[in-house]
Amino acid sequence: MFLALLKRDIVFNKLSSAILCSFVMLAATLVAAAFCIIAEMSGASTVFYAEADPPHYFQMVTGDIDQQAIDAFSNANELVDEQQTLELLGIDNSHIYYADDLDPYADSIMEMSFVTQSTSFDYLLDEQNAVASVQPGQVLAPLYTIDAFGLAAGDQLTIRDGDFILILTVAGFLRDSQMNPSLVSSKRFLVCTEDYNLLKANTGEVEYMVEFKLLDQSRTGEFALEYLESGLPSGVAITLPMISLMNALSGGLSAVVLIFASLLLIAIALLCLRFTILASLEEEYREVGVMKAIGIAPRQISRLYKTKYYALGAASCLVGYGLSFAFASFFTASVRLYMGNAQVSWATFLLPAIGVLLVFLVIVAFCAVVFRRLRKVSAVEAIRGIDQRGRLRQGFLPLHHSRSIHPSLLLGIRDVLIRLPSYLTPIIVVLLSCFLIIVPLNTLNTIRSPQFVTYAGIGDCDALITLRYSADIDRRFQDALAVLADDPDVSVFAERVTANYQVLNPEGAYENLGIQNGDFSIFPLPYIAGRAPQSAQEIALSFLTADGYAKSVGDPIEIRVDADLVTLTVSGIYQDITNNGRSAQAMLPYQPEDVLWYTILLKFSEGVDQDAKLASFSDRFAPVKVNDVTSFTSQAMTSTINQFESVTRVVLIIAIAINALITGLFLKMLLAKDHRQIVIMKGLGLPNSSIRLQYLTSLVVCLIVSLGLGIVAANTLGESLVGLLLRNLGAARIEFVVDLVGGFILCPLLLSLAVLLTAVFSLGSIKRYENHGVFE
Amino acid sequence: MSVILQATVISKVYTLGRSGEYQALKDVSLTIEQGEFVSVMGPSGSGKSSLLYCVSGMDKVSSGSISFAGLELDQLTEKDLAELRLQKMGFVFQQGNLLRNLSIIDNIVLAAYMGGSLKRADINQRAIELMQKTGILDLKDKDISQVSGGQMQRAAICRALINQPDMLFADEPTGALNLAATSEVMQILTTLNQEGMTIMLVTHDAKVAARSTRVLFMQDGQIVGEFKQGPLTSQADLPEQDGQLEQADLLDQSDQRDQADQPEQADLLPKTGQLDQAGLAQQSVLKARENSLSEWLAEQGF
Repeated sequence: MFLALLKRDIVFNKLSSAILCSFVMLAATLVAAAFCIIAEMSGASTVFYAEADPPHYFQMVTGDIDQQAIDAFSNANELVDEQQTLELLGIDNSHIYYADDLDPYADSIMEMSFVTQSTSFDYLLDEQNAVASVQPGQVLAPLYTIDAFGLAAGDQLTIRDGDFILILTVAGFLRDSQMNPSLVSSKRFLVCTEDYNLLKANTGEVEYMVEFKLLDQSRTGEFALEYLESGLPSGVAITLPMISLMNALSGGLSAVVLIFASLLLIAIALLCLRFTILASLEEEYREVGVMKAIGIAPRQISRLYKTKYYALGAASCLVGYGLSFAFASFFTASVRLYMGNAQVSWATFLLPAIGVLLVFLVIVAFCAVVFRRLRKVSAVEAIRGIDQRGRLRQGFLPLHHSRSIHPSLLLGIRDVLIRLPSYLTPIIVVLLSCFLIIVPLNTLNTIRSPQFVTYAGIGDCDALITLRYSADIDRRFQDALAVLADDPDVSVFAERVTANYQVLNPEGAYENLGIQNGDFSIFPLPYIAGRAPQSAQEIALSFLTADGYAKSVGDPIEIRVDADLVTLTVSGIYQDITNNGRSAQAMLPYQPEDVLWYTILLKFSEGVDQDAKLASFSDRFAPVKVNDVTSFTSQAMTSTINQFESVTRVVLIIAIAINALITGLFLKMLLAKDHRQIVIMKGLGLPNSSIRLQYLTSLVVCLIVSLGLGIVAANTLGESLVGLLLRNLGAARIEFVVDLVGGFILCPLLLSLAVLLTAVFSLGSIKRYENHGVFE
Repeated sequence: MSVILQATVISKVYTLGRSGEYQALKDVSLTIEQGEFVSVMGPSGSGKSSLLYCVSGMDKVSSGSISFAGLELDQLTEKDLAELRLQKMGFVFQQGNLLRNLSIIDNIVLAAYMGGSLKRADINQRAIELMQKTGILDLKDKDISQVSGGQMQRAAICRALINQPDMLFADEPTGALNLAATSEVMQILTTLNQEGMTIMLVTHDAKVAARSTRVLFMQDGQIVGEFKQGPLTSQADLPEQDGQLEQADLLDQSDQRDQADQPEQADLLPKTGQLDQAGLAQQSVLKARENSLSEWLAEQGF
């Protein structure tokens, strides 16, 4: 009997059943897709790391190395499983020409290296996740070059240094377990041994990666200490957890944002679900009363209705489960590009299924709460249609007290205030959509703004001259300083020398840390705590360094300076997203061999043509890098900017589609609920346009409230959320540089258009409302 | 007297999904003159309400033509039809059909505010006068869920009259009311008619129809009979044997709760418990007219 009743009920209430199913399906699809993304990401990274086999610990070393000493250390060390030393040929950006570009990207902040395939581990993979190989005359380029330089397979890559020219064909792209993210400032190109030797003979500078695979990865810290104490050459030390974190943060950032976006969209879908169940139950209110009156037990009534919702919910969840795979594959495109496909495993299907089950359980919980309420309904009240739940405040904003406002406008405003719970659905949907669009928009705007350089540990300057290690680095640096000192176009400049020091970590081991030395009163940074170092006894730490060493302002920290152990006091903490977020500022002496790079920060005089000046400096100091600050951060953040751009686009499209869909469905439900009222108004002679105006006014009120709240929430709560997200990158306290046009005009305008155009279209149905049966 | 409403050979066919069509009106012609009080009676499904909604322009006819106050309804756009209903017609539906979320007075003034031709202060004043006349002034700020069926119907009458229409259409206005409330509502309609208002009313109740000047009887979508009885004030058709109606009988019909609601100035209502000789006479006339009508209806097979 239940089945027959169920079938009849669904056929009779086609509209509300269809709407209910759509929302459950949407919720199920989103939840399952979010789980699918998680499964895909974790699966893909497992496969990726298994194939690439990255080292557990490595040192980037410049200058000569003694491989025999390294071998002796490795053989003697019980922690080492395997060791290899990879040779990298660093070629200056000014010598590399991409595709048909006539000029090289000389100012790119990326360090480009050419390598041959490794033999033991740390493989560079091709786009099929196989160990890559190249033919003579071919090159495999890092994925970064697709976005940054528009490189495509089949393009030519020219290396030109003086009279030497080598033209290589881009055979494809590389997945590099260590250097995929744009936040890592080194990139590797793969060439065959013959081409490598040709290049090495004619250009570039050799660097080494001294790599170790350990027998017990958990003892990496202990091994790092032993390596440093062995006296072997040391530069920047990298460990596998650091590589994984960078990959997860960089490659997975859009996935994280999308999972977050999905959660909000799920909240929207559940809200709609609540509205739909309550609205259709309201229609059945009288029926419940009749059933109670003829003696059907409340439990049986509940069972009857619950069966209906469970059946509809289960069917929709199943469809949503199927749809989620197509939906998720759209979002995991970037994961697949950088890490490849995940191996199909039980998790690929089970995790989304768990998500769908969660949605179904939410429906069950909703029904339990709603039907408990129905049990309390008196049969008589229900039959007479008296619903004591929502006592209406009809005296609110009385029509007969209004003097000039159009009655439809007033009725529209009153309706929102009187039936606020019903209107909560569109209000919250628009609010969340607004939040979802503005947060990535403002994040993007912040990353692109000139002020963002302060999150890179650099003060507010116009340009940056960076000199990385080379044989004559010190001479070039002194040259540059002399030129700047005599240039009237430069109003002020400051030198910063970043050198390697050994810092005592909380585990009692010494580890390398690049510390900037200089006068930090010029181009000061905003400190999140304390201030810049003012003497040789003080040090300021980046947020992640301070976090890693568990130091706060005023704490002592021990550093080895010229073989002496000195204790410095932490004077301040600042934000830095470069160098893995780990840096420090001090005024310490340094040895030339410990210098990692020199930086000159400068500000131009008033009225100077900065672009022309930068170009002339580039020529004058070549191959030294000269960047304006915006390009410096935008290059470091290329992948983050690209991801946020695509996330913003996707979220915008989804939000507009969801808003249009929900407005349409909401109005369909509302008009169905108000059918009688509308027919009465039409009967009294109110024109269709007045009735439409009334509903449009209600929606405009909802829009004003929700957009206002959405903008406020995005700029307060959203800012904190992005801060949490970027905390692991080293920027703990992000302050949004608000995108006024996008955030305050375009986003509200687009959302309003989506809602109002859908509303105008949906409200057209009022014209077809007739009085059949309403007045009888 | 001039003709206010004329329907000529009108038909109304409803489409019933896949199962075919249903003809609610079959070639009906009807003329109503200004000042008339026409009741339409007939069994359920005979087409009474369809006729009312078609001639008032609320529903479209399938064929035939209707003219109201000299205007051909089929020539008017939907917007013009709405304007006509708003300004020239008043409607009283079964169960009042007031708009929820609006207080009694807001329900009454809404249509006039929408009309936009009068000042709102004047509209409010007129609403107060109407509520005073129908005895619901003290309910003006009440929610519609806080008033009785009779009071709601009186508010519906005020709403119908707020734009001073040329004609009032009422679809079973007493269908959901008790005896006392029915009597009150009908007394208001009678008084309105006596003041010159043209009324077309659909009812099942001979007691209600007894107050009209003409009764139409419908069956299977057609008008099959007509019973003229003249205005209620006329004593001409008072049969001698039916003239003795005890005052006590009338008082028995009154609902004590509704009695308490009667304000003193309710001009359109009799002052219950103080029926004067004229009132008693009218009740006698009514009883007699009801009997005659019932006999006629019996002849029609109703």
